[in-house]
Amino acid sequence: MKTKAVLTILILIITFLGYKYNSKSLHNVLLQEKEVSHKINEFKNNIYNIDKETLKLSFFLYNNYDEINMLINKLDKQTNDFHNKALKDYVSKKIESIYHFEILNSPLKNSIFYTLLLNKRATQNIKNRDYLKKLNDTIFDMIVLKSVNDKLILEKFLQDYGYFKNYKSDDKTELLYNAQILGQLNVFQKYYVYYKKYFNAMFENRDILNELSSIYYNINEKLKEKKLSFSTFAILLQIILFIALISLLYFMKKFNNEHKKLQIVSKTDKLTGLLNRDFFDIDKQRLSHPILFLININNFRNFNELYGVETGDHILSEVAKIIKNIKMGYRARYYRLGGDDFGVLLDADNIDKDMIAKKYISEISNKKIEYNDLIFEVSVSIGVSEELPLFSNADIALINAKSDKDLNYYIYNKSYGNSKKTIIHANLKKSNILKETIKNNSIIIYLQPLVDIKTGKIIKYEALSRIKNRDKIDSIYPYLEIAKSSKVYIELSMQIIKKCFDLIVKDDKLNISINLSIQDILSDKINKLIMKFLDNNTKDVGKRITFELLESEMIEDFEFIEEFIMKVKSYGVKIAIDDFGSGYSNFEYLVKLHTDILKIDGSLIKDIYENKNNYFIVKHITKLSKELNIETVAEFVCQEEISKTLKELDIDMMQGYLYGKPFDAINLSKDSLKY
Amino acid sequence: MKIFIIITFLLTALSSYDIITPIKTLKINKAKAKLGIDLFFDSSFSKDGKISCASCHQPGYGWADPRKVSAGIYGRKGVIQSPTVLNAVYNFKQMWNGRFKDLYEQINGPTHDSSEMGATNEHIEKIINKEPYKSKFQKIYKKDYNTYKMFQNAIVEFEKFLTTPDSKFDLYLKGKDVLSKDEKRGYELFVKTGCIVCHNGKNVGGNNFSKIGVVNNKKMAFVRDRYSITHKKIDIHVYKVPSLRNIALTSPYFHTGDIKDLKVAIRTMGYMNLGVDLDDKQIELIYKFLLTLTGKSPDIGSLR
Repeated sequence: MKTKAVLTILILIITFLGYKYNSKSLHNVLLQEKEVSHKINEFKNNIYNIDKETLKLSFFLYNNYDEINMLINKLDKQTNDFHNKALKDYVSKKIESIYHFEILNSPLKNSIFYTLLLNKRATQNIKNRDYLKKLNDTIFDMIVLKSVNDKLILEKFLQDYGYFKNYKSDDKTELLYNAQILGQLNVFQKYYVYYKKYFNAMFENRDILNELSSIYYNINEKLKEKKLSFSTFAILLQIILFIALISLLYFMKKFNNEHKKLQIVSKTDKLTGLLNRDFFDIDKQRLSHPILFLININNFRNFNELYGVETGDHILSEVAKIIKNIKMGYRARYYRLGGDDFGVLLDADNIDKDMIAKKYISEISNKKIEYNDLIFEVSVSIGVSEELPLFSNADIALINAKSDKDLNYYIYNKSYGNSKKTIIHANLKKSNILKETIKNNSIIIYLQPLVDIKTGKIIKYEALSRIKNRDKIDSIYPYLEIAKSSKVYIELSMQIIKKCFDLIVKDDKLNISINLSIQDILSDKINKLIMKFLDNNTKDVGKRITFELLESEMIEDFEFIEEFIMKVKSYGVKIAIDDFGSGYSNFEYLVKLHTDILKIDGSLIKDIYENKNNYFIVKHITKLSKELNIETVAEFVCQEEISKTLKELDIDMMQGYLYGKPFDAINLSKDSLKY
Repeated sequence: MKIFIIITFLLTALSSYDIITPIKTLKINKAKAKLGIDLFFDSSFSKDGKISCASCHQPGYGWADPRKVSAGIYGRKGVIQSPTVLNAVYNFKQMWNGRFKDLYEQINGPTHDSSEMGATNEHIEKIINKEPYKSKFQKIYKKDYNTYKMFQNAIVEFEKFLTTPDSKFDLYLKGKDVLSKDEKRGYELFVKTGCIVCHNGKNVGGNNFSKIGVVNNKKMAFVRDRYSITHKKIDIHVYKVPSLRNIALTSPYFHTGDIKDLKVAIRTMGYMNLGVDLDDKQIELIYKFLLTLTGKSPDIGSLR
């Protein structure tokens, strides 16, 4: 005890002396650093303000130039503070570009405006209908060109410009009028390219903005030295403190172990004031009959995501209070065991666990939590366990409670605990296989033919993905759910799509149908992959591709999906809707998604020859599709009877075991490509 | 129909506000400005002792030069028309080609130019370190030796005094006066013909560079344009857009001083930069609007 006190005093003295000695320089460094970061922020802000103002200049027909001049002056002054040539060059180049942009901006705007005004009088001066039409087109092109950078439209504009330039007429009024038009078009034609050049130049070479702090410190040697001396001191101090701490720990070992531990480990959770997990681990061993009630807030993530972390924190601390204040008649201890997991630990034999769990659930959901004028209703699920290990068993019970729609608490019991464990085990195994597959890029692509119902010839193949599980070949479906939850899904999709693309490139006769989910399309990576492939290959490669959209998900970002579809369709790609007649599919989607092909869900097909309802549904889907000019495909055709019935219904294509099982794409031979 | 929609769209984009803003008097150091007056009107600073700032920036002609180009020492002719000093403090750059960033730098131009005042810094400092200037400077700047910098400082202070607030149009913007029907229509035309694209801001110009003769290039002398500084092709025939404040007072017009009549200047500008032939009625209206930009002349007497 004596040694400890001496040691502590020693540390305090060293720290105090060191701090006093260096406090002045520390203070200065901190102050200057603050100033520098402030300067850098100001500088960047100004750059953004200038950008905003230039964009305004470009957008508005006319605008006050004073504001931008003021900002430029400010930028000039700010740049001097950095004493850096590269930065100065960047700024002076930017300013020069702005001036040049301004020089070109006004005549360009005026030329558009005047061409418009002249056009108003066109019919009085010009009789030539061709001329009038050309003039309208040209004006339209000018306006578009001002806002976008489109080579095609520029070419078109220049072509039309030639028309006006070479325009001949016997009528004097016409010639006079054309001269006026030409005067304006000349301006546009002459300056447009420069306008775009300087417009872009205003936003170039911005990398330097990320290096501002290093630029500043490079020139400020004094500051650097101070920083150095401070940091050497800081490191020294840290080493001393570290040694002191180690020795302190050594001496502490002599005392009661558990008692000491508690002094180091902070006892409570800061936010809720409940005991923390470390404490729980110690406490549970002391009790003779411990029972854990693991309470979890339902959909807690939503609170954080929708209302912000502050709100989430408030809800956590309120729920903690509520739990603490519920009287059970037993001695209980309360813990925060995870993000939104609370634990109530009781020490009691033979208690009514159902009653207690129900009471917690009802008491919590009865209380309303107010925050920032909002009222939140919180509900919880509970897992209960008195079997060891307490926490993980209660957790298994909790998972059960979560997945059960009727019951919101579960009490752990060995039998279902085991079954749950096997599922978890199986999932883990699948997840490992999946990881291996992705790592080795060893997804296998199978192909299944689609045949024309009338000729019986193969039209194309649907690409199906398979995973190798030791000696077996598994369908991908059981793995997809796991892939989605473990964030490797996009990687998996990329590999599948790449492999399909490889097949297309290898066999220039292969027509292929590739499955895409909405999630795939929304992924930036996959979107780029597809567009790059379509762009980089020969023109008709798109015509050999069909994308089958899996419609198992609601589409939220319709515009984005539609944009994607329109883009790929411009390459000749066809769009098919998979599993129509199940999930979220409806006819509105069909039209909105610009569908070419519709695959009727297998559940409607498999018993169509005897199930009158299904027959009726398929008949109507087919009829409607014909009217919407959409081709139809029937899946799961595995019996003669089905095929016969389908022929009556005027379906276009069939797919199923009757016409060909899926086979490994490696075995794709020249013969199988004879359509 | 398409065109109609586009026109409506453009007109909505037109309706931006605060395009021209009123100017105010600047706070100045009276003692310095008073000293500045003496310097401004003193011809002893020039090489031949005959030219002062006021020789080419004449108070009776809107603080500009009524001649086509100014005459400097020994009767040497200048190459470009002398612009007004009025409200020059509000210009974003100085000189027709904007080669000086502020009034301080601007003073270097005419004082040192061999065909204007032809003076050196030593020459100027010699004078201001003799009486009567010596004590006047020391009273203000409190230094043993008076420098060229102080000379600049005093003149700039005086130039800051040379602003013309409370023009009819400014008063109208502040809601303190009304425009006549013709003046209003003139302003409308000023906007709709596109003059305002370049002539805007507190100085109704003087805040951007522009090419003269974008649509129709009249034969004009293109001396000392932006190109002579930047040597970029795009800067050929590019000048600082001049302020239109007090434009009625500062004939002749353009950098060449070619045109004496303001109405002809309006017609020429429309033809050269917008490609329109404005008719007499339109010119008359724009002219009337420009007259409202003439402000209250600064009263030097109030400084003395």
